[in-house]
Amino acid sequence: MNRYVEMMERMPVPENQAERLKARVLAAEPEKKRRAYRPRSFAKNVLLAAVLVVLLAATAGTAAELVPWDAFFTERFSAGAADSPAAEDVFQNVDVTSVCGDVTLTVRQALGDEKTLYLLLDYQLPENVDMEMVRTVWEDRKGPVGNVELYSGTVKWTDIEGMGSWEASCALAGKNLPFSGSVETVDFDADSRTLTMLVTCAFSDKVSLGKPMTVLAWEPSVKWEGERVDLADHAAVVTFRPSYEARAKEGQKRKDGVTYTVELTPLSIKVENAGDREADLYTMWQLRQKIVLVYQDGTEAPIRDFSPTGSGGRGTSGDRHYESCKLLLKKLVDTAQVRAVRVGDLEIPIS
Amino acid sequence: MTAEELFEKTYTAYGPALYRFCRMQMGSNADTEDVLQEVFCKRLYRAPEFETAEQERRWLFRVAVNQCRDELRRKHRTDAALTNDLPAPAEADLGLWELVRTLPENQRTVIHLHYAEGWTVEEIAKILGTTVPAVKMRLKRGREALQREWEADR
Repeated sequence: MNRYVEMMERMPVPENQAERLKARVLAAEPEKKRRAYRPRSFAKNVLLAAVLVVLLAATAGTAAELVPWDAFFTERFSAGAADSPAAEDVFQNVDVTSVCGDVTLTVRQALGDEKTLYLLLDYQLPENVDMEMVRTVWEDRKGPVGNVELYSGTVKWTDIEGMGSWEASCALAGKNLPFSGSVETVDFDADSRTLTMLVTCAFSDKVSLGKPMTVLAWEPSVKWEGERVDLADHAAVVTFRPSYEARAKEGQKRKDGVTYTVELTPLSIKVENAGDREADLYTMWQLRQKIVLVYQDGTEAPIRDFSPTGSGGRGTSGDRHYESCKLLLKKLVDTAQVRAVRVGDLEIPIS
Repeated sequence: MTAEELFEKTYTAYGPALYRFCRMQMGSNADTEDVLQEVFCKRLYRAPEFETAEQERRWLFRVAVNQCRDELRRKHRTDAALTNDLPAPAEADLGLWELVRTLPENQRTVIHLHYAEGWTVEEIAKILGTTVPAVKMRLKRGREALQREWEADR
């Protein structure tokens, strides 16, 4: 193999390569699709906040254009969502990192309101993980698979250090925030050993804004040669304080023995009808077809205009039957402009 | 340090070595410089802080490995043909060059990192994010393939 070494040593570098490369590299804009996480110093945060205040004050009419949604959010929601009037109320540039042993978690950004939360979560894998295996699974679009739980309040790494996910969940039982949703791995960077996950949460109950929230990340895993392989051997946590301000507007009305309840936020809508007789109720699919937003100026928009996804629920409570439709919206609703929700021919004022 | 200063510092320290690695992987000078552009862009705009020069060197080669793989996958390159863009290996080296280029990418990667760059099997495993046995196997197979082909040509 000496010959190989000698061959490589003899290989000349092209003339002017350095100058050529320098010109190309300096001219190349940093990749904008995925913003690399870099912890900012407090001084830089203060300066950035000051610059944003000045810019926002100077361009009040176009403030929404300055909301820097991550590319994954702009891909997930419709074009122009980041520029809509509600965009600023739901957005939070979180940038909080938690080092949990050999795993590092970063909440990059959040879009949220009292009933809904989307999180961009970076999960840096331990150094001993086989990156080629992860890369192969990622490129085959078969994973990695992740899972998270959410808790109210602060949980430190030392509170669960060394615990597996089941053990940590048990230890934190009672503080969890129930939600339905999903965790999707949306990116993998082998260089930094980082998985980026998009966490989607539709909360059962309204979440208190402004209070700390903890994300418990389970060990991500892949299916490899027929077996499930965990990419870490312990759970990890990161706590952040939601600062988004979007709240729900609610309304309720009764007609023909059926009570209709509405909850509307910029990111979601829930409509429930409840009554003594199941036959009197709209099914969740019928509700979905009948929901219309009524604006302050009298105009209306069917909920399908907001690209809804979701499902609903049905059941009984005592002797009352209920059926509901819960939808996540891909076009943001400017709830300040909505005065009522119409279900069929019944208009339900909301506030 | 400005971006220009960082580029010059990084290229002076690692540019030629990165070029040789990428050239061995990509085959053509044009593709090599495309890959190098991405590597240096990542160094300037997306790299973490490095505590030591050796850490930086390993990071750069890890990025180069991944970038070459991405580019090869994108171009579906499987042949080892040289193009006409100069400079090429010296004429006396062409036979060996072509032999190396016929190896699977993962074998010629470990061959180069071990023999041309002087990394140990353990260090290569860390750079590639794989296991020591995997690196040893690829080295063994790469050496055997080169030896077999080299002897067959004679």
